[in-house]
Amino acid sequence: MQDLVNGLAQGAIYSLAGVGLVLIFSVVRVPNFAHGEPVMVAAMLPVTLMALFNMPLALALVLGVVAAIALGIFFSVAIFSRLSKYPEVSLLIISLALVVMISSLAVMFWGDAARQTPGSPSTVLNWGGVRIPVMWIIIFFMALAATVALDAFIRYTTPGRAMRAMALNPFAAKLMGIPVARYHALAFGIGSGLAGVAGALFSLAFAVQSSMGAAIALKAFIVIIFAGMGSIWGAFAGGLLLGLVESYGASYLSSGYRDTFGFIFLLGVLLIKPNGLFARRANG
Amino acid sequence: MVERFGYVGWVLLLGGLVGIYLLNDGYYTTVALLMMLWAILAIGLNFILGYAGYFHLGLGAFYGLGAYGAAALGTKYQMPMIVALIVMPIAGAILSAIIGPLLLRTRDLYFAVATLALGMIISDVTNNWVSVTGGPIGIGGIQRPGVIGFGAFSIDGRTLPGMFIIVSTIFVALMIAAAIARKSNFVLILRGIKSDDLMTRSFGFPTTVYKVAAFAIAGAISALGGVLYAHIVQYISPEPFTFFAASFQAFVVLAVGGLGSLWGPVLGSVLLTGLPEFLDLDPHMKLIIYGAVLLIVTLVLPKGLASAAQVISRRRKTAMKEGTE
Repeated sequence: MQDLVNGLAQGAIYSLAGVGLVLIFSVVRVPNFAHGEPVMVAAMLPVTLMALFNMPLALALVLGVVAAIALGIFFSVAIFSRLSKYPEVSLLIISLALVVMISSLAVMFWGDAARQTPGSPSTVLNWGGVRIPVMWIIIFFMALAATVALDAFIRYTTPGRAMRAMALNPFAAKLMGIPVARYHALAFGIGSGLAGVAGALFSLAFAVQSSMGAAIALKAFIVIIFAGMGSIWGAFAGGLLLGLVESYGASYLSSGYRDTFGFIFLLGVLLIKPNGLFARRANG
Repeated sequence: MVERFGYVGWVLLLGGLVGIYLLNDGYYTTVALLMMLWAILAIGLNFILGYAGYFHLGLGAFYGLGAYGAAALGTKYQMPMIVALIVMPIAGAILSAIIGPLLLRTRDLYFAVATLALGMIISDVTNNWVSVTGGPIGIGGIQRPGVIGFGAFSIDGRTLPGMFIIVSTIFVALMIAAAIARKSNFVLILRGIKSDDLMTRSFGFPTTVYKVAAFAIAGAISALGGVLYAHIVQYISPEPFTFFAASFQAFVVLAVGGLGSLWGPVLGSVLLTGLPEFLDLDPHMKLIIYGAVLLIVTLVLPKGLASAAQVISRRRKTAMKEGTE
């Protein structure tokens, strides 16, 4: 039981990061391996703000998420929206170069020690021997709420519809008068904002460090590949699944191989269903 | 233009190697060894990434396999280096041939993440399987080969210049093999797979077999690189085979040099291995500049350094045309 709870809490973070990445990847088709950097920024910044300006926790967290959104919009406006003619290899390398640069900057600035944002509710519920920190419950429902909100946004609003059109065919979307560049930035902003929420919540419940971006981005990619690109609820479920696989693997087999279980599971999924678990059909 | 560069390239390569040997400076020899090592990995990667167009991000797994295999053969079973040089590439090829058909069911980003996961699994294994890999502490005391040959033609493999001759010989042989392979039907079919898999299959070529072969060549050459690494450094630990240290670096060397080109691996490795050596800065600052160079080269020359000559000559031609009109 404890493993189930641990897995869901950790998995909810992966879900949030994965849901953000699904939005970016399906709308703008950029293999954005720098997706972990907004997570890292939103996780590291609040403590610094609180220490420097005596800021209340809530404001510091919000500013952390705002910084993540700003970083995402910067990726879009300054870099990726200008590179639509470049081959995928170039985009992959550029996103990895961003990871190298941003995480080195962060390590120079913050050091590489693990830390946690203090001040989260520390109540721990105890249900029949299972420890459930209240913070974990908050994380889970925040992830659920964010996914519901994103799904509704994509389904029912005009910008959401425009983004779906871009996902189907960017060229035709442009011909239909959709301001493609603006929605490019919007997708990056929202996606990175969700990553930021993931980071802020992560730092309240678990240890974070300034070099963690690459690992989180990789997990977000694993999540969306589990899910079969382009499915928001698939990514949500995939994140929880990854959390559970890691948690059960670590406690029943060996904790040193914690990350490996997720990777082996991914390889297993790809062998059986090369297009992901929840893929409706192969798209082009 | 391109043909002439090919001829000049060989002269520069051999001249450079002889020059560094005659210079006999420990530092430059070590840097040149590293450059050759990365070029070797990039040559291997070129088959699956450059020609067949599959984003192999797990080269570090095979590189690590070669290095750890060489260390085990050398320290546990007292085998000479030549045994590792023969056995480990074969092991790399066999391992690739086993997992290749499974991994190559996927493509594009799926293949990239699947191979990335493979590399991560091997990294975890090298860190945790302490009884075989030594865990984070690693394995030391890997013996270099002794004196090879006799009289005036003998090479002392224990010394750095001796090691330099051994690695250079293997490297030049590999470059020649790569140059020949590049003109072969095999690579032509791989290029066909890159541009249109279905079309190539409909011409009657079993594309999966070709892809697995390209994957296996990449695995074998990476394992060869790992064996050389183990004997150059004589000490191995999990760190040099992690994603950013190995797979990413090899990927970047090839992509910055030029996918599918003969000289790309060499140019990319000279720039990217040489650059951090000549920047005398704090390690984080070094990484930032490294990232920036990567960004700029990718933006300015999306087809890699090997395409620079073509880009410049094309610009000059258009400039001349504009001048005459």
